[in-house]
Amino acid sequence: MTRKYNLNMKLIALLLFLFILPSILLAQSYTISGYLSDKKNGETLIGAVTIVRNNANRGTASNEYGFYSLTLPQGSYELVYSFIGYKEQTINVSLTENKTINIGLEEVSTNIGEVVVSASKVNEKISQSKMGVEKVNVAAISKLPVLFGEKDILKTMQLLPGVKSGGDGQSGFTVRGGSIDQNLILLDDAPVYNASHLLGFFSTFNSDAIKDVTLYKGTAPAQFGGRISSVVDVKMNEGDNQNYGVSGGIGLISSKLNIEGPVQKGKSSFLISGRRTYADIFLKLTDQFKDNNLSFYDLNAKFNYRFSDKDRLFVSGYFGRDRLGLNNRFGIDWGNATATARWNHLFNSKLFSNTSFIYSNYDYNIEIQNNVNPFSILSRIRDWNLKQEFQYFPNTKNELKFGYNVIFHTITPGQITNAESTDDPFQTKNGLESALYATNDWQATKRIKINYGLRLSNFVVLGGSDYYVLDDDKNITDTISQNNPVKNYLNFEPRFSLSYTLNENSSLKAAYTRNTQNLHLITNSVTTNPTDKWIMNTNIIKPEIGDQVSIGYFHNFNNNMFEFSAETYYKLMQNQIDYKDNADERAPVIETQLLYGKGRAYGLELLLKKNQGKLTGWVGYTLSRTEKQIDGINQNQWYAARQDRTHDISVVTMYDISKRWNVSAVWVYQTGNAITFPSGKYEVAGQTTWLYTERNGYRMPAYHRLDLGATFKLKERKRFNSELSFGLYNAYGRENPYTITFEQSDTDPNKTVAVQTSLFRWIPSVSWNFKFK
Amino acid sequence: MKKYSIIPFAFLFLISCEKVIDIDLNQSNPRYVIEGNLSNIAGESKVKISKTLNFDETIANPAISGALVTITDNKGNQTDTLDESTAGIYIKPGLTGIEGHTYTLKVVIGNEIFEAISTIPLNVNLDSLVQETLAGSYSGGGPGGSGRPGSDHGSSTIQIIPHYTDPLNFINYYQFEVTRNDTLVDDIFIRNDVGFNGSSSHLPLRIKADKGDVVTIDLQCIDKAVYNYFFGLNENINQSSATPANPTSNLNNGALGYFKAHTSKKKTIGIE
Repeated sequence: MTRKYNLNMKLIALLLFLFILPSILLAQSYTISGYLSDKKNGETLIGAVTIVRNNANRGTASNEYGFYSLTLPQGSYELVYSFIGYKEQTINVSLTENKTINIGLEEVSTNIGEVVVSASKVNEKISQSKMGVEKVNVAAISKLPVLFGEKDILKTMQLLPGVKSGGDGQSGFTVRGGSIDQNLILLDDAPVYNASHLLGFFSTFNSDAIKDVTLYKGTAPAQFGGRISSVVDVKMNEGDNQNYGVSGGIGLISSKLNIEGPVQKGKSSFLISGRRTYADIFLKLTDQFKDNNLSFYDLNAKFNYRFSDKDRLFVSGYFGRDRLGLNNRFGIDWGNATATARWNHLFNSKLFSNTSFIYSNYDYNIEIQNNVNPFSILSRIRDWNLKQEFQYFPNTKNELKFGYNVIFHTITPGQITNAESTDDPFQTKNGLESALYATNDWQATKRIKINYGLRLSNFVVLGGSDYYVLDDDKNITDTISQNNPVKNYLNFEPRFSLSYTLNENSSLKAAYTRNTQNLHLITNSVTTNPTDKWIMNTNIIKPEIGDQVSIGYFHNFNNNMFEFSAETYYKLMQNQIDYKDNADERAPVIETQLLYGKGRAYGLELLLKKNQGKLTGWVGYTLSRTEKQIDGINQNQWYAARQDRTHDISVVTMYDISKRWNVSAVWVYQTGNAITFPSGKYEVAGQTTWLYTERNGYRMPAYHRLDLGATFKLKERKRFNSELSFGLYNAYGRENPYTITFEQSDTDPNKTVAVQTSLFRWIPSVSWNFKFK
Repeated sequence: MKKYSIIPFAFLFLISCEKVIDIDLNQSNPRYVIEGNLSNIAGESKVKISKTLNFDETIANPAISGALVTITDNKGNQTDTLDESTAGIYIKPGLTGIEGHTYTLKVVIGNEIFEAISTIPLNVNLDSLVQETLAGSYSGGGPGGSGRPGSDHGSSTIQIIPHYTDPLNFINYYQFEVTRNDTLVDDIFIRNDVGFNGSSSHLPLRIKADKGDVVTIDLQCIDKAVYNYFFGLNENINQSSATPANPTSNLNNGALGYFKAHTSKKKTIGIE
């Protein structure tokens, strides 16, 4: 064990040496550093750009806490600070010593035609080395039509190429052929295990409390890890540190309220944001549904405090709960709770440190009411998480990040409680996931920018509960019960991406990334169910490994009014899990029902965006294929994964009619999911049953839908303004299939018919949003 | 100056709709379906042979006649040939299985041969039946029940507890065949003893019945392969499995169906 640690330490030293090597110090240079924020409310700006005008336009972008650092040789410089939607600010500096410059940028009053769709810098997609990255701007999504009038950042994300929604009212999504559990969703660094409310009709992210969302389509740099398909990095607002403000909205089925303000003016602030549905209140008033219940609420809160220019503390939390009750006989409630405490510390103007303690909990509880033996089943996944990251800015050519992450996972698969006792028949399991990483953004030449990094990830299957040994027929032959660790998995994850700037308006990019995944969701569908089962690696279940290669071309034209990108990817996935034929999802030892194999996904993603003008929006198209090959399924041949979709089109348009009216429309089209349908029928044991020929050999009908929206700004008062939003979901009433089942015909019992259930057509909505200042 | 008021909207448009749709399903080649039952009670064994149909076919009874059907006791190597009594039904009066013995079913249709092996486990006694009435009607599957929609509308759901003592030492697999007023109930009730090995069982069966009905429960001990077959079949019928597939049969050569060698212990209860 000690030898191993020594080896690890040597490795770290070697890594750090290799990474710092490119940053040979320049003679007589000084550092300018500071924070960039919104002048009006003090919200820090993520990704705001500082450019040194008289030094080859070299520059840097502020990090996720608004911090920037630039090291330049002694001299005089003209610094330009900018952020999209904000007025540029220019400062002349004579650099003879290290300097701290904090800048508050002023927001441009939103005139018509200055709508921000996404991206924090007009040509960011051209200049950054990373690819497969999408930023979703919260302000921009407010104009898009959405289900029940509740704007939803996760649903907007699903309109981007490479990201596919699960279907009507689903928050679950798949990225580049991955399954829904292969997305790491982080809310202020805390993993969110179920990002949906109301069985998927809403996502858990209250857009009023969200500042910034970044999606990495499997190409995330080495500071992220743990899922093989994507990272969705959600950052909460900090709250206004200048003035108190109350905002909110009243909608058809839910309302929300947001309060923020300074704790110490200019230094610290708080934010509390809550939502609640009230359909359950109306249900109580009806005779037919008074015993039924379907509701959710959630609460976001954040507090930050600046001790000094060098130390800042952030505490943030989320708590949300859903409840579904049927006839007072069956009840299920589920929800996430996360808490994050972060401490930013500046060791010096070049070395920024962030230490995070994170708690994350997801559980669901099923209650069965009967007069014989009422009982409840609790399932839970709980994480304690420590993250340490250092960001080092040696010069204008390099930006290093290195750090570690340790997570202690506890999963309780199903603890049964009745009147007499509490029993844990499926046994709570523990695992320790840790990672060590280093990554560098390196401006190699004027045209070439490279991000490279390495992540070492380790997973220890901890003892203390039972693990099993299975034979080839999946029969249990032995039980492993020990307190010592049962198994250890170590993986190396190299990450590399390169961009080559062809000219000011276009670039070529290439990337290779490896990601591993130690937690797996065993689900029976592409939809998100609260009862989906999360499991960790065991002695049998190995970490999933994803290797992705991607190439892209990025081009902006008409003075950055239009943005075009084409990306292709090929992904190979190892240790993929699927149920065996006729699996028993309730089996106590789930490994007896699982098969393992590999997967592959490849595709082409095209995106054309218009960022300026009265008409803005985008058109996205994805051509893709996702397959699996698992021994024991479909005669060991490659078969279409459930989430395989050949075509995926989304058209998003927003149009400003006048200062007060704007309208929007969204149209989506997707090839149906691959699905197993029967190919015939026969009678056995007195019943008609179906004859199957292969898994996922059929397709659901194609999914398409048009949504319309309009926003009307009501007259602005001195301290109060408000707007009305109208929406029409599924405007032409397409009956998109939710499920298809096969039944004996009512009219002719010898005949069999396919019955399609679809959820909703023409859902109108109206909501009123207001803001007090 | 214009005045705006908030209009309280209280609509919930959570309406789902169902419709029959056309799906272009692949035509499949017909396959044979063999249902073999060998009981330790004389006169209750039979083999039924039929075939699969396409979805749009409406033949009521696609029986396969003229097959050669034999059952061999692997211990004594005694082979019995079954005769076709009605189209597709093969029987031999007096054919009786013995507890602990393993049997081979062989079916010859034309020049195709299908075989399966099944063992009759040791007998478990059915001690008694006790009825429990549930408050209100409850549709949906309980443990072992399938709750098929559309069946027996109007009848209330009752629980019958079959009391029996599970033997220690090995995993036991059970099937309950329920007969209501001389009609075999479609639902598949299967169970194993994982989690309560060696203890007395008081788990109820949930069935639809009315006051005055006569319900017979047949407790059958079956082997693991047969249990797995009926488990898969039940998932298929309810369309409840994540991964629907033909249930794993103990028959070889691509035949559908099963060969079930089993014990039988019956008790009858009048519903109150």
